[in-house]
Amino acid sequence: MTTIISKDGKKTERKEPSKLNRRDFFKAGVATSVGAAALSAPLVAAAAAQNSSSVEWDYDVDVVIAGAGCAGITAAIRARDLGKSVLVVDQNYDVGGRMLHSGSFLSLGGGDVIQKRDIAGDSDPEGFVTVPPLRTPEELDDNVDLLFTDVTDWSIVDPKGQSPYRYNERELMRAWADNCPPTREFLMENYVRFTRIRATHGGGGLSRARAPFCFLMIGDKTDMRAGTITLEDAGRAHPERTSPFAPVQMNDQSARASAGAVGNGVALARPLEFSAREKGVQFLLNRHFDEVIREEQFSGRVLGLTASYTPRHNPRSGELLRSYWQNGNIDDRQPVINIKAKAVILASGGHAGNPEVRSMFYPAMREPAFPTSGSALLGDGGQDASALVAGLKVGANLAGMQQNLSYPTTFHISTRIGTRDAYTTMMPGHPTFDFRGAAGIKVGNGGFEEFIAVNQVGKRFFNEVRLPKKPGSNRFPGDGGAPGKGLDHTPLDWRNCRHEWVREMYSYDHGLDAALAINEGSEPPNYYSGPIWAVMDQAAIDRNGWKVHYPYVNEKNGYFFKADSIEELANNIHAGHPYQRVPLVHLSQTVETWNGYVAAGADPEFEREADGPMNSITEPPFYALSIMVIWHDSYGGLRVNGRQQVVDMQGQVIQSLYAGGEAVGGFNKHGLGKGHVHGFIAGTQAAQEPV
Amino acid sequence: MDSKNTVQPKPVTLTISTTPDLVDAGAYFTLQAAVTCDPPQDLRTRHLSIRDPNGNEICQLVLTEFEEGKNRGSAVLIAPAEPGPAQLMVWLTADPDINLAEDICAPVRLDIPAHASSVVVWGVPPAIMMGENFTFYAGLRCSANCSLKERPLEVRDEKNRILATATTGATWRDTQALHYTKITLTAPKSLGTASWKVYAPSTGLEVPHSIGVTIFPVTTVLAGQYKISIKSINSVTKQVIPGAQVVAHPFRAMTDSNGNATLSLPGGEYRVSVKAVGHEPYIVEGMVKNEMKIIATLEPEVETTEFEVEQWE
Repeated sequence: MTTIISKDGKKTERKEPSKLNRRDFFKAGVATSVGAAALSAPLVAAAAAQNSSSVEWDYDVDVVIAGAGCAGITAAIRARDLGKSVLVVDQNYDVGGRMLHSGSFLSLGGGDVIQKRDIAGDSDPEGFVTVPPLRTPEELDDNVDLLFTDVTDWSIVDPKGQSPYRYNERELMRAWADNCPPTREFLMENYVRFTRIRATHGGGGLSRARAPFCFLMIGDKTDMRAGTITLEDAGRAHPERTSPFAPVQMNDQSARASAGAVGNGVALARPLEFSAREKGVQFLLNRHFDEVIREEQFSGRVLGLTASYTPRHNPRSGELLRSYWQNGNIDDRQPVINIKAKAVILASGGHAGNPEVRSMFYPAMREPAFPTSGSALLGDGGQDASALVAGLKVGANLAGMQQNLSYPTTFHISTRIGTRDAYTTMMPGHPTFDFRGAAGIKVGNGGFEEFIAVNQVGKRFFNEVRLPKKPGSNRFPGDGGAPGKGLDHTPLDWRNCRHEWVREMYSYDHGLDAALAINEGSEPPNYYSGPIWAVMDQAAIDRNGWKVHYPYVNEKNGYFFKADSIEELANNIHAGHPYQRVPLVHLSQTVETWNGYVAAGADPEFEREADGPMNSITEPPFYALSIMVIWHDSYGGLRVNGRQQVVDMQGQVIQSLYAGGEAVGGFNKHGLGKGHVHGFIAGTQAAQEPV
Repeated sequence: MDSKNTVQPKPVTLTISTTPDLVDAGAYFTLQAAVTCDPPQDLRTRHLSIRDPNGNEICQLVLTEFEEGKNRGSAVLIAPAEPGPAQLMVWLTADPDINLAEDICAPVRLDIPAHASSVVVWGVPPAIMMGENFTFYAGLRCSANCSLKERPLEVRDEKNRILATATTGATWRDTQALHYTKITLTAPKSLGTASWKVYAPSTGLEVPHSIGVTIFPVTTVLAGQYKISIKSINSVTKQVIPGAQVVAHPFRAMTDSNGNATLSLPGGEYRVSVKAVGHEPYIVEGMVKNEMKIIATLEPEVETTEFEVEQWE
């Protein structure tokens, strides 16, 4: 038995796992000596954030983890498997982080068991995967050396002129590549099922196919052990409903597994959560990680962390939100608590939801009108740079900060309009839908031909057709800038980036940057660009069959407006949108000018006529739907070594402090593959503390 | 309008502002309040009372933000429908907890201008044969939702000559107060695009209104000589695409249930665009000098956001 003792003497006991599941340890670079951390004290140390000798501890565990997303939950299970008591804190009311609303396109490789399974054409042990492999054996024939080469390839340039692999931290990449195969097996041992491999996810390399999706089978009951889920829980019983189990409707995976298979991040997050709870991981939810507690601010071992109570309430009913599963939860509502641990793992995400932090990369993105993706699901505390801020306070170094600018969709313009939370397809039914207020209308790239896009003063600023287009992200089988596609790609080849080729393949239009430009309504000191509006008439709605009713749009939440005239539309936007700081004084003239362009068949400002039909905006009523710039994820973060140990600005390990996922920098990889492997390594290493 | 008003003395200061600066009669506007205390105090969740000049409460304004010592909140109100001067009072009641011994109040003076009239013109055919009759719609809307039914409208040409008069009737579908009428006119006998306007006089209304006017283009064309047949097909599925828009400026058509559309074009240089929902546009340019058949193969649109990639790849 393991016992966690809280401050008020309350004990929580749980069973040890029946057997420890000791996996192959990862291979990493040279281990750092314990005593070296003392050398990292700066010449002038500021007052320590908290005097560690006076801390009153509320909990005492082996491993405490900040964040219950893909990195945190993986680390938790791993450390628990190795016999440790594990406590996870998360600022949200439920487990899963952004993994829960992801697509589950989980890119690993290096010869992992799913690659081998698909090479052999085998099914899975349960017989769920019956479709033939989607890739040839040659496309799946992988090894960790090739994977390591791919993710450190200096020669790759993407269609935005960026180098996605060149600046990756090499020790981190070696450890990641080495641990991809065991992480795949680990996930499968914790109820995660994988489809056939489809391709590779962004940042996961160009040479081989490495990413399947996760799935569950539609069944009579939702059962993670059996791998089944009901239609209702999967959000597939009604086109306008999701469920408390699945914030995003699960999609059909029959073409990649078998008839009845459905998938997305739910088929990854929920099985892992179920396993973690089953194995005795404990959770303090609605609990925001605030501070790392170190012996001295810039020296000594890390002793624990501080976390504050951050309950979320339904905005309509006021009801406290509670996690879908409750077993393993500790209901502690103290405002602030201190948790002592032999090891601390920071897996609380990145900084995409913190406009002040992200503005160090792009000052225009200090604009608070634009949230991060999944903001309704995560709440205000999601992706708020908490790990980065707390790490800096105890002397951590940063890595790969410039890589925020080298992933093509880090920030982009969404093709879903009319909602603030413009990234996901969440529908009513999930408890956080009310934070979203409306699902928005998915217009696609082509939909941008149907309206004009105006800035906060009502002026057009770019060719609308080109506004949402995004460059490829350079991954197998080659949707990006490398000249050779699929198996024709040659790593480390200078021809991949010779300037003649880069000129030919460059395809970025910078519409997003025009959207963020200073305009007549921008005021010092921040010169916010303000919100962006898609302005259209009834004819556009009719041509496209767009559903301008709830739950797709909401006339009361400030992101959708309808009016009899353009003048009234402008007034309504100004009065009703939270970030519309100035009136849209030019909107009427802009629409009149546009209608003149349509009549003339030419748009002298932005040359729209060359990209498709132009349509006048004349038939009432008139509509304005918000166009959102989304800062999706973040790449810069804390510097860690190959053991996921946080490293300070003198190059020394901060003892007992680990980090993974979006909390760390130095790896320009999108999504889950990074976080799960980081969590696997961090959990493995943290279980050995104190070292 | 007084857009700002500050009441002192310390230790509690109440500052009021409104947006937009000029509030139209009957239009929504936002009233913002800032309360500062010396020393600073967090007053979030406390409310201010917004009252009419007789002291009757209209609504309450809740303070929701506390930053840099300032408590802020806002409320959306509807301006009076009658033009002229108007006044609101914003009250903060005495409260020893914040060292406020007496009620303080800030007046908000609004100068409501005449109601704005908006003219909307729609349904003008994009290409009209020279000298032929055409019909279109014109509507009139008051910014304060006054009923502008049976109001006169005048259509004028570029030299301000009245071409037609009409009277507004019922409200147009799915609008709140857009009173409209259908107008038939004869297109100019010369080739090109004329800028005509619909003018709404403001005389004869009890409540003062602004004059409304909207310019609209009238494009005249030669008679078509050559029949252009377009068939719209999905490049991947090879299925025909109904409802695709076909534009050879200024001529327009829509494909039928079999994916077919026909244009009748005078000879000349054209760019033909074919666009359907969920597809990339098909664009072809060239000289039209005889009958032609165009097979427009539209590529299905491929999204590249991470979300779509993750979901659908």
